[in-house]
Amino acid sequence: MSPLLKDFLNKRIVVVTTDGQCVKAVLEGFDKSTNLLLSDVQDRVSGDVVASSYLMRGNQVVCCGLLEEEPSLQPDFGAESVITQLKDTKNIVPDEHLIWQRVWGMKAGK
Amino acid sequence: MLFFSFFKTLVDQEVTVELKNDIELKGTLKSVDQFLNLKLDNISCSNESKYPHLSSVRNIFIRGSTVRYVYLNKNMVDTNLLQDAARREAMSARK
Amino acid sequence: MSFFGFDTSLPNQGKGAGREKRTATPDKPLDFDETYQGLGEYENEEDDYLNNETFGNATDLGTDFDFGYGNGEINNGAVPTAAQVDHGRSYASAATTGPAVTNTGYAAAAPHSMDEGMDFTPMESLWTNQPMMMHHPQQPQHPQVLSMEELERQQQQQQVGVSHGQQQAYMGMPPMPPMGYGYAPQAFMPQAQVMPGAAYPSAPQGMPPQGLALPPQGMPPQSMPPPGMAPPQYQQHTLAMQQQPGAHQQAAHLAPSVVSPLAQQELQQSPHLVQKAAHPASAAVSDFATPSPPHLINSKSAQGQPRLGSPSQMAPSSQDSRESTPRGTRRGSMRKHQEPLSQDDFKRLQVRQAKVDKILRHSGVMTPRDKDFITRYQLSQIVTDDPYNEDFYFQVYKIIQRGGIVGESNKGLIARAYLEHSGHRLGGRYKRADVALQRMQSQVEKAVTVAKERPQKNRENFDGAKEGVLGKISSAKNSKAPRRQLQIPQQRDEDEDISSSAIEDVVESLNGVDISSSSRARRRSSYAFRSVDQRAVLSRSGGRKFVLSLIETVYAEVLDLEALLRSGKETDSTHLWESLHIADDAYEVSPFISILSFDKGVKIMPRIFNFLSKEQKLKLLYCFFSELSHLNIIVTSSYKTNPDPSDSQLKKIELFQSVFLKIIVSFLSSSAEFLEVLGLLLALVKNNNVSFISTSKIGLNLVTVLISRAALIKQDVSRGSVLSTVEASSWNEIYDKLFTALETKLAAVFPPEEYTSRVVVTSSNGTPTSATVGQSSGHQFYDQSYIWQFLASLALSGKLNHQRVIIDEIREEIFGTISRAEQLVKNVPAEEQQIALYQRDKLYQDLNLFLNVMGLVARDGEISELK
Repeated sequence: MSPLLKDFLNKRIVVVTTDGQCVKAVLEGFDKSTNLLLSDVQDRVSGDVVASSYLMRGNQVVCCGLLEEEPSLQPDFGAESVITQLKDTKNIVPDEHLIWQRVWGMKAGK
Repeated sequence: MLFFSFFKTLVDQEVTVELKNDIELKGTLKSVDQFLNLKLDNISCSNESKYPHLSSVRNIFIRGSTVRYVYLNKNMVDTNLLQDAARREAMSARK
Repeated sequence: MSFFGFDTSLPNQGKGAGREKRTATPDKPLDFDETYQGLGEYENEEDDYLNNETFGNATDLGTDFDFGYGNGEINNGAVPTAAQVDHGRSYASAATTGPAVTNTGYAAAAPHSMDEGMDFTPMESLWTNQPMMMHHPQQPQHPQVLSMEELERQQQQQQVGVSHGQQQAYMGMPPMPPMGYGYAPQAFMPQAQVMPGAAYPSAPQGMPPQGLALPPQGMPPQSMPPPGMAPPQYQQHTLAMQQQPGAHQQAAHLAPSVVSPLAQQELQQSPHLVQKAAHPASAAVSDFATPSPPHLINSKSAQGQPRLGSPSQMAPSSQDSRESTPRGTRRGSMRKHQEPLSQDDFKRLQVRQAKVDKILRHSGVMTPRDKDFITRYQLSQIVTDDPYNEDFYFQVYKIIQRGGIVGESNKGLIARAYLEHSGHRLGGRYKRADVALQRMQSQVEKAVTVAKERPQKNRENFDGAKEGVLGKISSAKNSKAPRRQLQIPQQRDEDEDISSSAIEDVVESLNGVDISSSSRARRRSSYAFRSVDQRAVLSRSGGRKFVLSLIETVYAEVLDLEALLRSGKETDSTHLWESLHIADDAYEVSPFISILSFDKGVKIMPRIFNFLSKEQKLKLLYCFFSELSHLNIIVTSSYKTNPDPSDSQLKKIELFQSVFLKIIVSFLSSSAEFLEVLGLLLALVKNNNVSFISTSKIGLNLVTVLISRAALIKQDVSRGSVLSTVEASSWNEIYDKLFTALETKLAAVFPPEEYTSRVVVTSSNGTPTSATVGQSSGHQFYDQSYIWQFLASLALSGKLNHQRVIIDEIREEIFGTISRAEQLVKNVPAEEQQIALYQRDKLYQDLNLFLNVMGLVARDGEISELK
């Protein structure tokens, strides 16, 4: 088993997911494919409680960082301005079909 | 195993990791595993003002599958040796 | 997966009111459709294949899989409180439940089929004894022991059942893992049993599916009472009786055949089971008997409401028990078990169950197989026959980085190969690649120094010659010999020369290297090309693809040999030698020459030389010098064929110098005999257009290396032992031959102004190379030292008349250099004086290397006699 996450066990961590979500939680367990068992899951920005216990599939995980702030302290963002939503990792080009349509159109034109 | 081997030589060096969600993290590579999951220490996020989510995080685990690029300093790589290692791996795969 | 209401499609919904609400009411059944959305988008992970192995893949779960396992419409009076374990169950258990439900037709009856309080938590008791102890029965039981025949019969039945069941009852069940894992195929049975058992009282229509689950126990479905015929209570009882014993027997039987320690443990505890089974916790006991992590705990039983039969019903096969036990007895025994549960017991059980829940909370997240897999993986990381093989880059890199060879020589060997013999370490990153050139230069300088010390017996004659040629030498004796007295060596017939006896001796000394036939035939098409286009050469040696594949073969051979070297075994260079195709006559140009057209081909050469014998090295060099005109690098570095060298071409030249020239120099100076040097020189002169080669920097370097080495050996010999007449005459002949080829074209070794300025521009724009010198990047100038080295070594070995010819031909260059040096200092502003002075000194230094050979020295714009 990858020992990389061992140091984070039973600690508060920040998890960024592939769909751009960011939560903080306590890492209860993990396995070699980075499936994470989390407890006390809160939204990183709003602090809302998301779940008391959650099993996150490994392929949803982008990264998890060890949270070093005081648990009571809320990060200073979110108060006045709108936080940029994290991007997902899929990098889907919007309306890609239109682009291809045009490409094919140009090819046909030639 | 070649790139696992390769990344192990980068341990304790400073690298910049660009993730597929455009976050760029610069930090000291602390460890790597066979999935090329990375662990960085003392990270700074180069676009932190845009993505403050990782403020107050110094030590981070990155899942290998979500890494887009790892930026290295040129002198961290011994290209000739790397070529040899690649040849060896290709040879052992052929056998 | 969203087991707990964590909505994975969060970003689409904004942040979480909905989620919170759901979390707040965990008892509310979840609509799977809500949470499932988007999950299908996740691409398969490469490790997902294990899921199939672990969880089974025979049945597609579909989107209607009910993770809430029913809406809790339980009418049997059970109070689902204590065992409400809704977290901590592994998805493994959930997944295995899925197929069972679907398969047994419970999809339709799902709302009724399962108890909400049912616990899917895998049992710790599978691996340890403790949880089992927590379910201690409180009633004395009558042990029932199976006879040997019974055991055998049941085993047979069960085997039949399994084979049939693959199509019938087990349809949709996960594929069975091979023996040796913690659980046997039968592991899945109890689930099918417990579920119907739990659901039965309220769902008699669930009968047929239960029947399906029965065959493995030898109970044909048709023997079941039709639904509704028997009172529910009775039916339940019967079923329980039919199923439980079967499960138990299977577990008990299979244990011996399963080699895992778990199974053995199980076996040892089997008597316990039999004795203590008839307790409210009988379901848990059956759990225990089932070495499967995907497991079920029946909450009702934990609450002290037994629904299963007495041990007497559990132990024997269903048919036996049916024959031997009247129905009434069975029913009675069941009631009897319900009675003794007092309120206290009930509470105690609840507490116990809560404790168990706590313990089991996260257990089973990793199955034993996961753990086993990981352990094996870790072991495979640690234990490897050859860490260099598995982890080559890391190991070697670390040794190199440590800056030296630490530890055993064995480890050091390969690192040394990289450190010392490969060009990239010498050139490449940190240093400029002029080590080889320095070495060559020192060789020439050494020879010149020796020449300077030579007693100048014919000094007068010598001076006269110089004077005549150079015009104004401030020598004591003036204009003794007019210029027309210069002796020009007579032109001789070429072929006659080559076939002379002295040459034959040289050839012989090359250990049978075959000068004749093939290589002669090959050379005919040689030096006719006038372009940098290397494709022409490549196509004549088998084509680009062929050559590239050759290089890779060579690499493979070298890597193999290096691996042998590391492990301390004998190395055999035969294969390597063959892969070089040096003696290959099938191609017009030797493929070996084309190998050197590629950087990687050049880079591997030092490592090849580590393994070749001296004889092989000689042959290799012989081939190399014979076909020098075909060498891509010669064409590239000649100002005639490539008047405008690019940055990358200059780098190529640099690489060749630092790598291949270096090994030639070191081979010649360390192990080559005089005659062997002569042989190589002969090969060069005889097979190539020397005047063309001398227009290229590399070519000139190579010639210089050969003749300066020969001169050095000759000097050494003349001091110590005697040079044999054969050797002396061979040398004279070959030198004459070389000189003849160069005569009248000596001035052409100096590249024209346009070429040198181009090189300066290119290399100051790109990476600095040894082609130019200068103290700062802004004041680079073309380094001509290699030319003067060549001329010096040529003059060194020549007789007086040779020297005269040389001086005569390059007189312009000598004076040109002197005046350039003087101009430099005059015309520069004061602040650049320093740079100009350096440049001037460098020019004089190079020039004097040549002039010193003839006892002259140039300084301050004048040529004077060397004191």
